[in-house]
Amino acid sequence: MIRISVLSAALALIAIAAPAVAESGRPAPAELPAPPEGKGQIVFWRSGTMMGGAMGCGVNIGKERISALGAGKYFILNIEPGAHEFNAKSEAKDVLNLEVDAGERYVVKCSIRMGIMAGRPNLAPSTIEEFNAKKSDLKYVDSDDIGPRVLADPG
Amino acid sequence: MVLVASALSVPPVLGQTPSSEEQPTPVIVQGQEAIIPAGTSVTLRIKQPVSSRTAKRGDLFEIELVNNIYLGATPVILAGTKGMAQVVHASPKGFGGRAGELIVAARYLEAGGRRIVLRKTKFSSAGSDNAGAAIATTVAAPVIGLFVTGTSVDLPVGGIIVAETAEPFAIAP
Repeated sequence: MIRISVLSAALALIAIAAPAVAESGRPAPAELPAPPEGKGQIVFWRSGTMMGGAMGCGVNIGKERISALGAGKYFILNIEPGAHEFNAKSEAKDVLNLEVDAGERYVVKCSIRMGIMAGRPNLAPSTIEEFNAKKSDLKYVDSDDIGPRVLADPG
Repeated sequence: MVLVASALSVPPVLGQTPSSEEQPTPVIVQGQEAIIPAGTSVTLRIKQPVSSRTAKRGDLFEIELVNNIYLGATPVILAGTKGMAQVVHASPKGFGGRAGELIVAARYLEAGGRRIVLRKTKFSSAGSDNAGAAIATTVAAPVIGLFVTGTSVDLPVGGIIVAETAEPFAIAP
């Protein structure tokens, strides 16, 4: 039993350590676009770390997929003011609750942590300063990950 | 309509104590009423400790106004005016080195039996995690008294958050 657990953990580590391959979006612009009048804005990003690099971080509102962040990717979501519950899940589900006011910008970081059989995505509050510090390494999500709610590549 | 200067708090700087210096902020006088406009910045002090270790979404906790709001030389909303803030999101540290997370929002101040509704609280944070990236910081404005203890986020009594008024608030001068 212990051998099986160790093997599973080893396989999970190998799976999440594989590098990302897709790179198509443009680098983040010097200034992010402001949210449209009457809307708030959330910038989701994920660093280019090797940890879980092969695994996408799917960002959802309820069961609706908004986008998926590969390693070193970001996207912008302009959204109606109010309370919103975002989630990302693999073998475990992580939830982040935000309340966005009109004209307000939130920044959210996704990271992938080690799980039993697969990496576990985590959505956590971040800052524009942290985003800007990593910006030169980030590219906009691939076109097939730009859902109807997601802003087109501003780069 | 006449614009009259009043004073409000100076936004504090991270790591400093709140300044006693006050800067003019417009309070509008309409007839017999003074109006504190929507969007007026207010500095608030935490009166009950909040921690990502124990907080639950929806928890309410007490706050108070740090500095007087003036109409001319007359304070119309006094420092110490009480109000409530709420936990929007809280998550304790967890499996795999996941850091604690905390987002709070100031809801209102209560003055003269009425509520001054607040919005745009500038505080959210994730503790430093073992994956090596997260840093405890604010979203867009300074916070005083924030402590990140390992992988948890603690907002102690005396901590400062900044918000703004959500709608015009009329008061008799």
